[in-house]
Amino acid sequence: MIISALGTFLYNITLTTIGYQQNVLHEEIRLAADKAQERLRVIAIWWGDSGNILNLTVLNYGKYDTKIVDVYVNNERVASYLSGRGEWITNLKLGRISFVSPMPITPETLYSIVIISERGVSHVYEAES
Amino acid sequence: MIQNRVLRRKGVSTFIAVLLLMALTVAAGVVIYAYTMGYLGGLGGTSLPGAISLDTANCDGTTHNLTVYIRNIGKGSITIDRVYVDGSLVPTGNVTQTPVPLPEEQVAELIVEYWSFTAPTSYEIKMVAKDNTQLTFTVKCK
Repeated sequence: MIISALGTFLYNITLTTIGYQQNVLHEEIRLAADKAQERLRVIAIWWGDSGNILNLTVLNYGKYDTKIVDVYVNNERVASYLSGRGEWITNLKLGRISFVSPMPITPETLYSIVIISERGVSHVYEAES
Repeated sequence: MIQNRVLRRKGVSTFIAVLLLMALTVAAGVVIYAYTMGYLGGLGGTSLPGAISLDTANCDGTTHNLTVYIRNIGKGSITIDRVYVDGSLVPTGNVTQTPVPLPEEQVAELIVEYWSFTAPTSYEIKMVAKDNTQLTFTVKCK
């Protein structure tokens, strides 16, 4: 009886631990695979006529649909979006996002623009105003 | 007379007795299994660890400050517990996270003050959350 109880206890613990580890591994692989198959390219950047408005045209040439959830300009997070944030960009289609730059745009200056997809993939671009 | 009657009573055979014992053991085992499955199911951890990704990091060698934006792309909220710079633990008071905890699909700003941040050196940063979610990256101070 005692041996049976102990056996059951150990079996249960082992089963739970192995199952948990398998789930963790499976989730990590799925996340990494999804990220690896995401492809975004900024094909056009232009500066708006008024103020510090930036417009990006993005091509999704990856396997999955995605959306841009955040943009950083020179490591400063964009706080104000005009359009395009969180909108789906289907694969092999163009998307557009407009936002107000968190820092003043001065002519002939190089800016680093980082766009972040919902899967957490960063895409870095250098653009000159 | 009475004594004879008692002696004439027959018990179950040895074979049946063994079968009954086995059945009782198996039944008890099933009951214990059901109980332990219920009580111990959560011990191994039913929730998956979270996942965080790096949005951007900026190290200022003049102010010795590292500003990091991290995104919660997993399940559950995240609170950064420890930060290591090249393997050395940064004192808890030198790390500021906003917001705490970081909800799912949201971004947190972390400011790490560390005296050894100098330009133009690269540092390996490791962040460990309370649920053991980890993020490791390299940043170059400017």
